[in-house]
Amino acid sequence: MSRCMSIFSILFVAILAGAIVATAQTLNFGSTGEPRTLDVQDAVGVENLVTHYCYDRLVEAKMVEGTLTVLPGLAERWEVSEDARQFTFYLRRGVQFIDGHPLDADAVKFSFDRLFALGLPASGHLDFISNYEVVDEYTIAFRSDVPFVPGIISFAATGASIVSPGIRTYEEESGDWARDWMTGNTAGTGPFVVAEWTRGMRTVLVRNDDYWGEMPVLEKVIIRYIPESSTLRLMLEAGDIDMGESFTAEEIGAMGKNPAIKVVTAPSNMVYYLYLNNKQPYLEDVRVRRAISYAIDYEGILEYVWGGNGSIMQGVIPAGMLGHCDSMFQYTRDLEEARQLLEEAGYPGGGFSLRIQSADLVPEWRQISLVVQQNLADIGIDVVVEDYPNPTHRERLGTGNFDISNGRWFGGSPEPHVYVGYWFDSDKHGLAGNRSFYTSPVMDELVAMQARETDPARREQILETIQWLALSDAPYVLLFQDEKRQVMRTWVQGYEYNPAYSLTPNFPEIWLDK
Amino acid sequence: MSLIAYVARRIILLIPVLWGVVTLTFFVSHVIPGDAAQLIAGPRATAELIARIRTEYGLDQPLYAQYYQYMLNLLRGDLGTSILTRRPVLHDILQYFPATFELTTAAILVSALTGVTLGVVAAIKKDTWVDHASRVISIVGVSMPMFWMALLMMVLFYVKLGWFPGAGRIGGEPPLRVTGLYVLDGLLTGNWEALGDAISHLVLPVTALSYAVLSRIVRMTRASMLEVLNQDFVQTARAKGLAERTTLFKHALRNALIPVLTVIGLSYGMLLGGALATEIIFAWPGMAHYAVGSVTSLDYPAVMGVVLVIAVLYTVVNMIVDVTYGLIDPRIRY
Repeated sequence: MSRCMSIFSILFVAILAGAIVATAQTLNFGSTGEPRTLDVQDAVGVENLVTHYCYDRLVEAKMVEGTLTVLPGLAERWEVSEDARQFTFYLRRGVQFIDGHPLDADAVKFSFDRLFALGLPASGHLDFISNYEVVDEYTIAFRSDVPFVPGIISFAATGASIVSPGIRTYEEESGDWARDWMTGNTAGTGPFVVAEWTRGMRTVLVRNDDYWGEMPVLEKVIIRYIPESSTLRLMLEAGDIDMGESFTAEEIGAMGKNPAIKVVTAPSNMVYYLYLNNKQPYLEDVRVRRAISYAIDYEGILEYVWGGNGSIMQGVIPAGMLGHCDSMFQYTRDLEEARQLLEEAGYPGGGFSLRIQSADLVPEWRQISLVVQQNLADIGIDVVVEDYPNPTHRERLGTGNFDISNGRWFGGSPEPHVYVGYWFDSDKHGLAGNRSFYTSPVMDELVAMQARETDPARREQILETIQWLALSDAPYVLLFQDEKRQVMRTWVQGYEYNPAYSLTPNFPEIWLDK
Repeated sequence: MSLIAYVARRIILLIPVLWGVVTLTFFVSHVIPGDAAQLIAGPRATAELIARIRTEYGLDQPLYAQYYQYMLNLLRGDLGTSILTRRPVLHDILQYFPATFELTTAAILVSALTGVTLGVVAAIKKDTWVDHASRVISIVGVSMPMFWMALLMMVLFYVKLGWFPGAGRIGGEPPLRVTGLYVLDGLLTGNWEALGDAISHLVLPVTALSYAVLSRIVRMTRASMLEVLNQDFVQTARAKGLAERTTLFKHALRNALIPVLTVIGLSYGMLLGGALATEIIFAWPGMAHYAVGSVTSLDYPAVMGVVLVIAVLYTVVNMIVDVTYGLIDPRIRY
């Protein structure tokens, strides 16, 4: 009898628990930005929020016990050649796209054919690939002309999502790769599917009940587009939204005091820094650049402009990545040193003028500009503050029509190459990444060396050398590494920040305890 | 000139007005510093990619060639394709315009009815507490920034009292699309749940939007009524023994309405063009929000399309107001 009661009790609790979890597993996510397209191979930024979990990639990147680890995705296993020039993937069998098309090596080839044919920024992480071929029905191999150690993690980027060849049905003309259809639809294997997109209002993701992998608990994710963060905050506090993003530091600080809301923090891959145009007559002198670096009030900017939500950068590579070194040299405010350097450069007491520009993209940039203006006035450099709408700001960056500019960089994937390979490559002057128009043959060679070095310890040494040289040449002023602050109601469970997919919460692992 | 001839003449005059607006907007938007191709290409675009996008969208053509092509397409009814959304601009506008039309029409109706009523009462009860109260209401309306009022209303009626929803056009499924106006579509399709949901979502943004307009209407109505009430014909009407209500509403108000109509018409045109703050605060997916997104992204076809539509609307509203003058005051001839 007692055994029956025990069994009954266990069953009762299980059923009750299941009922609790099964009710209302609909997550309302508030976003201040709206995608312009659902085409995962044309997506940057906020588009990934919607499309990432509608697709899978050959491999996935995830934090496992504090280390970023590459995990099987649509490929159940893979091989990287010893010289890091060939990447071979062995695909899972029995997986289907949502349109019923089977996953095989031909489908993967089609997806990469489309990605490279479009040639949009989503393919940027994979530009090391020189060719690829189907080996057999479930095996595909990619080759690089030069060894490229960071390559494997590039296959985990959202832009490397595998798209169904079934979209050929929607091509309006041959060779257009169904671009128009893909703007409003998805065609992946992922755990969610876009059920509705009402522009200006919301996108509804529903669980893919035929998903090949671990089934999400959430049945639905409703992404609501609320352009004003104050409104989003009120909706979160009222409980109409479960999670939200793009709040100001003040809003997050206020919401953190609300017992119904929790703020989960983690170091982000987003870094804020200043570009010093190395082609500008005064700034082409390294002593002037170092003087500027010594004049900046780093602590003040982080504390008073950014609300302390981050950490001063220690070197180019953010914390949490291979190559980051906590003991790396960092400039601190030292006016005597700054004045000494200016004198050595032939500008005793400063006596010249520079412009600093910012854009409305980040409201705090203007405040940073004002701090820099004051800081450089202390060493005799007159700074004119200029603000531009973002399109104008970007055009001026692209053409080098600036002296100093506010900037930020988000790695996309937690791979040091995404920083050093773009910031210092003299082939990437301008918006492509080297926004200070810095040129150093030594640095170019070091950047190429780290990309082909297969020994992690040796690679780390090269990365350290790169950072020392970068700090010595001072083409940039490194300000701070941002902190990811995800705001949500306390009933949201299972959230975990993944630096590999910084803009996308882990919807498949989240559930609601309401 | 008959009414029909007058309307026809106004419509014909619309053509050179629109041509001027489109031409001016085209050249101004294209000389603003910025590269649309760079924005589309994204943060890490290579020079080759930017050049390819420029060619794809015809942005590498001389300005006069782009203008010529645009005008040619316009004559065929083609407003072009949005660089950002890759959809026909007309398609985008038809998506966003109903939201703005519904919001602004409701706001103008509320503000006109309330404003005229309050203005008339204030004039009749001049220098009483009613008059003073209307003055306070008007001053608050013109002084307080609309976005601030909108936020205050959200805090009070949404967060604290929970009487109305916070943002968006509708909470659940929209009604089946007939016109794109959720209230009307709810009525036409008999979807009472959607109708109620849409109306409840309209209350706060309509109130915030109508308040500023109402303030101007109240003051104009009051001033106009006071002037008319001092006219001889009003005294004559009273001397004849007409009921006060007839004197006020059939004779006095009718004469006082001309300047009030002008204010209502101008306000409506302005609202249709962009109730940006309200749309942003209440996450209302309307034209203003679309227009700002197009401008900040240098989406030239979308910018041109929005400007063209606003110019047409503004002109049509003004025409309707002018025609209405004649209906109210038979002395006005076309």
